[in-house]
Amino acid sequence: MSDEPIEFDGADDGEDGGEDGGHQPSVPTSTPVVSAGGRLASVLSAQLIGISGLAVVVEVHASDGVPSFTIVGQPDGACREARDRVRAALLMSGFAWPQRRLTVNLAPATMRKVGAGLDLAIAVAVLVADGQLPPDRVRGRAFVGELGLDGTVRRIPGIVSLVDDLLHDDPNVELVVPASTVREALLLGRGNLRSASSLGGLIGCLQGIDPWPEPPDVSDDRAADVSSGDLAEVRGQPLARLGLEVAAAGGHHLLLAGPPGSGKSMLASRLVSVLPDLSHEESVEVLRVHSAAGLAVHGVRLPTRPPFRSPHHTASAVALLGGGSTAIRPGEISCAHRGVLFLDELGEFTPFVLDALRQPLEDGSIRISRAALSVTLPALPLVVAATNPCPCGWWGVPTGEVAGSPSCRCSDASRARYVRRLAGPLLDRFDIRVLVTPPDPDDLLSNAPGEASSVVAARVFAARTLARQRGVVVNAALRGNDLRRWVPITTAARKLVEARLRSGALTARGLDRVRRVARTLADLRGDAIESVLDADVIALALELRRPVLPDAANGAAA
Amino acid sequence: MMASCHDSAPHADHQRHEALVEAFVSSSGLGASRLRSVQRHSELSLGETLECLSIGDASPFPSPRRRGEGWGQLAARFHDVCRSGVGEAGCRWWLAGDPGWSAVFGADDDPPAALAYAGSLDALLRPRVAIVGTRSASAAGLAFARELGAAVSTAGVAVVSGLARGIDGAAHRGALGSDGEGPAVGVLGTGLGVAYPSEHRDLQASVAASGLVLTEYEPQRGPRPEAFPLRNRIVAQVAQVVVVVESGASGGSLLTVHEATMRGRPILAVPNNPLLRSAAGSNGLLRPLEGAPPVAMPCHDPADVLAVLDVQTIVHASDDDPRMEPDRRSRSVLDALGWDARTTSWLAAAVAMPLGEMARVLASLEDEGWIVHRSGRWHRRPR
Repeated sequence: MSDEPIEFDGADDGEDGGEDGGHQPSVPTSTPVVSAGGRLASVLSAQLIGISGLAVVVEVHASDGVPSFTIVGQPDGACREARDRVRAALLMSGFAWPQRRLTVNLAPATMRKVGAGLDLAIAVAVLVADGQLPPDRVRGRAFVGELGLDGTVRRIPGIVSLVDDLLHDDPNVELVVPASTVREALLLGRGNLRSASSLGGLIGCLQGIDPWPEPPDVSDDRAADVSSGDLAEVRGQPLARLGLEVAAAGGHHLLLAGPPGSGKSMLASRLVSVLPDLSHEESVEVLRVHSAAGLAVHGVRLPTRPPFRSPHHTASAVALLGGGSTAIRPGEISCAHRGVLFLDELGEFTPFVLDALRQPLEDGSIRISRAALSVTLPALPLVVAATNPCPCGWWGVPTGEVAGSPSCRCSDASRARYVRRLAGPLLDRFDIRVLVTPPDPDDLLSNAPGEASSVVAARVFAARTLARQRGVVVNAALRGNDLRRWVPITTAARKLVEARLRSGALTARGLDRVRRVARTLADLRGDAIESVLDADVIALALELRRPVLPDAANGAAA
Repeated sequence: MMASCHDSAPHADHQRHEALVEAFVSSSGLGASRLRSVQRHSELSLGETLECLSIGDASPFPSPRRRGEGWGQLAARFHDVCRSGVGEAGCRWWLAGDPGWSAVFGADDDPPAALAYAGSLDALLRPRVAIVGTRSASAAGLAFARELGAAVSTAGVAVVSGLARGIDGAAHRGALGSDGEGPAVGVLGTGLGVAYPSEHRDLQASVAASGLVLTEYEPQRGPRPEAFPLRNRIVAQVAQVVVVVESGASGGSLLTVHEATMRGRPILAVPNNPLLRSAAGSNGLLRPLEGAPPVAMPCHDPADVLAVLDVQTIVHASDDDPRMEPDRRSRSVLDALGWDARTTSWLAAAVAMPLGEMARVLASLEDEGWIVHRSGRWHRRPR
């Protein structure tokens, strides 16, 4: 049947030509054109760059000549291989492979096409161009998905962004997504979604032979919140608990130092439990990033709890910051957006990688530029880092503080090297630094639980409410005039600060950071929104900022 | 003024002297044979040749010869090597047979052949006590070493130590900080132009300026592990009494003690808490060994050291403390801290004080100079 000429509605051609040029690139036309020069079909699809879905029009031109199949429009390796996947999938789904000269153009031709997400659209367009599928069946529809050789439609990353951005461009378009991603695609709860599990099934539905599969019943699905533990399980450690609470309430980055087994990781993983729930907008931001990064998105509820990401210290700069030569994949710093980025064993990370974290943490976003394109990804995590004070971890622990603790066996040189790696400008970004020591046996054995996360979370929520009334999300974002307005200090507190500024123990930037932390401390204590900061909170903020690592030189000098 | 060391020195010393010359000339880029040629032409001893070259004086040498480079330029180059990193005074040489040598090394079986020095050899005319100990000492150990250094210096005694981290540095600082006449004498395991550890560069310069810095090595030689036991031998040779303030079970200070006992020098050790790991070695010196008397006598007080040296205590350290007496709450924190290293959390639990108040008390104690914060823990400061 493939050689039979098909009918087409000439009006479509005119509609196509008269399309308004406002959209970039030109959106959904699914119009085959037959002329002496062959047949043309175009089908709408989309690809993911960073966390944005960009519309791609798949055009297929079929003409007489030596049978061939060419893909143009800057396909990358995976995309070029679509040729073989599409051919096998069509044949295995019972369709004929057109014995014609086929040219596939992926428009806009200036944009690099990445990945296998255009497979489904190419297959559909080939069928239309070959006349095996009437063009009106694909009009007003867009297709995304990867094809298996047997014709199954496979999941692709970033379905949330693809759906959201395509619908933003044209709310009336009907989207066909892989069946395995339909729950994820429904998360934002809008649009006209269809699912396809195989190419054969999809064509059946398009031709009206089979009914479209029912959308999954999502009414009783719950977002699976992974429990992060409760602060009640943490014994003792008053200063570390306070540091954690202040970090959560004020958005101040936190550094935990201490010997192995002192509970640094335990504390860090509980930071999420005292953070407030995500707002709707925040959830959408988080969801888009996670979907684009290919992370499992559970259930059909938006994530309500802030994410917790803990990359291993061997992570490369691209893994941490995002990137890649073709598709820009979000890095861990973006996956932890609006949540917690936990850098365990900070001293083991590559210094270059740590240095690269600095700018995004300051900006709240990261701009990744490559030769062909540049992408801005959100990156507003609360950073918690943990480190040993030296390679073995036992430096500076006095005899008797921890029963049976070994003494430090590191050489001066190796210790200095370890600390020097840490002592970059990133260290200055940690407003709160706490030395964590292994808990006292009395605390460990006592039955009295520590304060529960829910109690702390309530204080954190109240403090964040005050910050919002000041016009910022968290106190860590107070800058310039706002800082001066909201953080007045008493004379006694001023004396404390002045002594340290004069001795050089505190820099001007350090002072600003101390004031922000002190503001958060006062908020947590229940002070009024415009209260003057007294010596207690200033002293405590200074206390939380004291260096906890050995000096690069050593620090054991008399 | 200098006598040649070649005629009288034993064979072993001759070899060591040769080694010194080799190291010295290799660091200056001048070959040993060339140095000997200089010496032959000038009719000076090797020691005198070194001395002249290291102060940049080319006058004793014959007029320029050799492709393009005269003796004057060579001397200038030597001079640079000796001066680089050493300071204005430059490095000078003290060789076997020089004035004052036999008073210090005369009776010794294994003296060094030559020493490079900066400062004044007059420092060695005083009674000399070595104050040694571990590089990672407790806060109390550091405080006592400093106090001891200051007290014996006040009594006019020279404080000999190794300019290392921890006890050594504290003893030197004590001697420098007192108004006493007793100078500080530092013995290095590196060349004079190198500071090891590097944060002691200023301390080393101060010791050289007011006292004496000695070393067996050429000016630019860096730290090497084998050099420090040899350095400790020189400490034991130079000092008349050795005090171990705090030493671990296998510290280098025990090597100093070993060298000193072989030479019959009196040893003192500061008794310390048996649980303190960094004091296991010094405590061990005070224990009788299988019926034999202990190696060391206890040192509770600077007066114990002066008594052994038979030096009269000239002035007692002043009992006035310039620091403001802390109030009752602050005093309770200071007492809880003692001479240990404690975290803020620990102190808050120990005196049952809210964290806010504790932070304020600690900050004011810090401002008054009572305590110091290092790497997450508080330490009490000596006076």
